[in-house]
Amino acid sequence: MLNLFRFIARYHFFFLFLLLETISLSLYFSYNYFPQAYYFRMATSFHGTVRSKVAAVTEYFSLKNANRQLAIENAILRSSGSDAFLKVDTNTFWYHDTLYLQQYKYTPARVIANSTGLRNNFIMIDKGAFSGIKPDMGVICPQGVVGIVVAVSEHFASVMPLLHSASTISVKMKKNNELASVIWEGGSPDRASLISLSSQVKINKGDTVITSGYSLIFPEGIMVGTIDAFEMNPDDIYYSATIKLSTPFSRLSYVYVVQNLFKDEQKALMEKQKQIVPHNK
Amino acid sequence: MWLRLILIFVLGVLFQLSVINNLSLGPFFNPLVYSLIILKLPFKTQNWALLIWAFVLGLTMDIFQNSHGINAAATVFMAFSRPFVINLLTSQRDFGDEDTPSIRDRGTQWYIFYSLILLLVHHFIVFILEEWSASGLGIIFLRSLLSAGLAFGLLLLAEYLFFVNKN
Repeated sequence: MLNLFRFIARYHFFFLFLLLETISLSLYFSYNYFPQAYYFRMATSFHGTVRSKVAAVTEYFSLKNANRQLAIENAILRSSGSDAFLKVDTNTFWYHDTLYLQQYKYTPARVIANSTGLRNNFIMIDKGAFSGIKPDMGVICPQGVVGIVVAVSEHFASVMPLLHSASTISVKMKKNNELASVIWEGGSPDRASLISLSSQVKINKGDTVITSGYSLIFPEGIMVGTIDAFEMNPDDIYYSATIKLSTPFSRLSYVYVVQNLFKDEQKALMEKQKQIVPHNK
Repeated sequence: MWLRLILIFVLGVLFQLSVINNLSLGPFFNPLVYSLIILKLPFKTQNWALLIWAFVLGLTMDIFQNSHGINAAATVFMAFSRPFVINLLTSQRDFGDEDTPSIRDRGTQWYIFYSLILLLVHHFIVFILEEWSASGLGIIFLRSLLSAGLAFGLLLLAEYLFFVNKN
């Protein structure tokens, strides 16, 4: 036993190195399975407090642009609201309308930390569990999709943007509803890859790609981007295409968190379906 | 001495987070300058202390970047390889208590090799853990080479600004 201690003391440099490296790498690998780990939540809370102070200052620099964006959006909303239309029929609309149940709820939030230059980027917003934000909610901005909430603390939330190696967004072509997926393979923050788009359909440069609404996270029809370049191998069943993202990830300042009010119901239904019809795995 | 080391630690982290990470220099230039403290710890620092410094530094960066151990793994490895790099480059090793690796103490050529090797190790490990499977080793290596080169340039500038003319 004493010899063992002597051995460890003699090579303490190497053993301490092994220990610390094991801790670091286990953090790294465990993250892939348990994104809501305790460490992450603590880190989010601490990081958020510091970053919101920094953002309170740096926000002023982009205030002009943010104002213009909001003004444009306001104009669009005003022109689509009920006040903007002349009522020509005599029907009355109930407040608790039985025909139109609200499915999506939007919570505005401010971006307080953002990165685009890394392989796995992260965004932090200044709304958390206190404002009803939960993990797995979608995040969008006026120009398009942003990402998915992965962890929340009391007043902050971490968002995994599309610019992350673990992000996949279910999309469709606007013109013919053909399904595909968007992933980001690194590099420029305004380009992403469109995968598993069947080569049976015809696509053109500039075609619009929107969210499919099948993932229970994003509503249908949120802008993702436009096709920038594509090619097809004759013996391949999928296109390989690049899209130009509509979201300006490097200039994000205000975003909306989307809550699907029927998500639990839809999930429960899917669970039930799995029990009745076991899918072959 | 301690105060100075902690100052280098904090300034390195702050500069990385508030300036470097907000520059968009494209996918190939992602310099990591926060590791300056590992380069500048005195020669007489105990090996275990070196590793603890590096671990705390890496963990701090991980918390601020949500990168889950990537920076900690890389800085610990960088600190682990530091004694070997010093042994490799230095023939006579009677360092004073206050001696730190610097251009003033060891000469320009020595410092260039020393910092360039360690920065390259650090960048390479960060990028390989970030990418993991997405792209080839060649691209990762090119990325580390270019980023480490840029980080080296910035740190050399800092060296001339803050460490050379201090008497």
